[in-house]
Amino acid sequence: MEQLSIKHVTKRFGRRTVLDDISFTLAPAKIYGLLGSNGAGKSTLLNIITNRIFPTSGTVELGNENINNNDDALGKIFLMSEANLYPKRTSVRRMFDLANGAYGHFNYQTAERQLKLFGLDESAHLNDLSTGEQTIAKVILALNVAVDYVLLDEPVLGLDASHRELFYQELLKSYQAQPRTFVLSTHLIEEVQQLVEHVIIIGQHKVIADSDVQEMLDRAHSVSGPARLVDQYTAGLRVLKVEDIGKLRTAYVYDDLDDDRILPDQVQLGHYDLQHLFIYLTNGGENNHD
Amino acid sequence: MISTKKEMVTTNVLHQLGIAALTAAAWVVGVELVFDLLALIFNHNLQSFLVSLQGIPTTLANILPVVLAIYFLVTPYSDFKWAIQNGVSRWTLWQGRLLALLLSTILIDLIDELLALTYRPMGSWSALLIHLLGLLTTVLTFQAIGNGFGLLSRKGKVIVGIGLPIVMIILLMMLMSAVDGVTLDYSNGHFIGSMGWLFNLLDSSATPWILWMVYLAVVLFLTKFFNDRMQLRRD
Repeated sequence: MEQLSIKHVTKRFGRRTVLDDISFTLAPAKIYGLLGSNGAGKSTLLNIITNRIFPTSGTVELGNENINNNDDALGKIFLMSEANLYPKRTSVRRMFDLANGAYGHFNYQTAERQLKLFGLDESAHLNDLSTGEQTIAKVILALNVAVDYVLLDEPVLGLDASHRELFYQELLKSYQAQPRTFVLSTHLIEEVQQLVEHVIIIGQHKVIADSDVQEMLDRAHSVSGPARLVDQYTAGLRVLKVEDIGKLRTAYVYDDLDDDRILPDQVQLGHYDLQHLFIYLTNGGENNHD
Repeated sequence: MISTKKEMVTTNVLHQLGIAALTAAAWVVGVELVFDLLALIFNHNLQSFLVSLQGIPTTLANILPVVLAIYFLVTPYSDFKWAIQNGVSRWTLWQGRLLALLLSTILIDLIDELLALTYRPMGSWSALLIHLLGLLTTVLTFQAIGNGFGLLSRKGKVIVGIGLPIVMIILLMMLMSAVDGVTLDYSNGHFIGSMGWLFNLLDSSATPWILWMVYLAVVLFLTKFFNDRMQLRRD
């Protein structure tokens, strides 16, 4: 399997810049989280990766080949998006057949099992289904299409908690059965934190984080204690947010803590989760004081 | 060798077009039958009813080319959507649709000619060829327009859809008034001044074919040009 490289991609709609010089690489057989606030340009980026829209500048390459107008490359990438791109009166079965015709080797057996699991009829027309049911149909399609890169844009949109749980289980099963790259673009960070290995965060139209989840969480420290001591301890570190309650202060640091730094007795060190790290990073970061 | 994706595009277009043609034919024939039956009920004239039934092939022969042209006018963007969802490149989409257009045009022309046999004798081979090429050119033109419209938002389609015909009519009227002002003595067999070459050119039997080929090349180029620029819209 080849790497999927996004190289210096910029997208402007009129005067509005949505993506500004975005570069990163998606490695084979890895689960990624693509995170960003509303309007950050995640869907636009996924649409560019799959050649649905053109970038203003920059390229997307699979291995050494540009994906633009390239059937072989496009045949290795599948995007499940919120938008329904099928003609009216397209049945769920017809969606599977189209994917089988275009990508080949569609896993009908697993798809049928999943349809039963989620309680969906394959003869149902996509337009007649509720938002949640449409998502289920599209997710089942995405999990069973034979490609190296599966991009899922809001894959749990409209799904209730039990169906979301089912989806995460099926995603892991599918990945274990046939390791390939999944990219999950979602706002439900808490739910995918245990699932994704690597996170790409888009903020201010740029990539502001591109790192393994564990590496990121290892650098996410909360430092609590008397304000003066917390300030002394965090001096020179990248502090994303500071919260004060009375005379106590909590600083949310995103940095490596060197061994030379001595922790005062009254100061407590802890970790915070991916969701809060995302919020602090996308809210402007440095020394956000509440 | 035809690729799987191209074959998929062609098959899908032919399938959708088949459904559209059958639906349109069923409606038109159905409506015509209803009116004929109503006339029979009120007039009690069986002879007139049977004569009316003979008009159905004419109606079908008229409606099928219209369905064909309209299909290729309105479907480029919807075809692009499902194709790109399934990893089909724009180049393959263009080729697949073009192949479907050629096949469906030949098929509908053939059906048209067969239906026409019910009310007129078969034309000469050259007449048949000209009819086929005329239909092909019309459908290709509609596809080029459809592909162009595929680039526009809904608002853009309304603006261009209303504005373009108005501009064309104005241009046509200007051209007609300009031609009306020119008086040339063409009947005496000798041409005036430097315009002689133009009349010689227009007089040549090859000229219409050359003009047709140039027009076809331009239309084909436009279908490809617009097709390659199509992208997903949010409207």
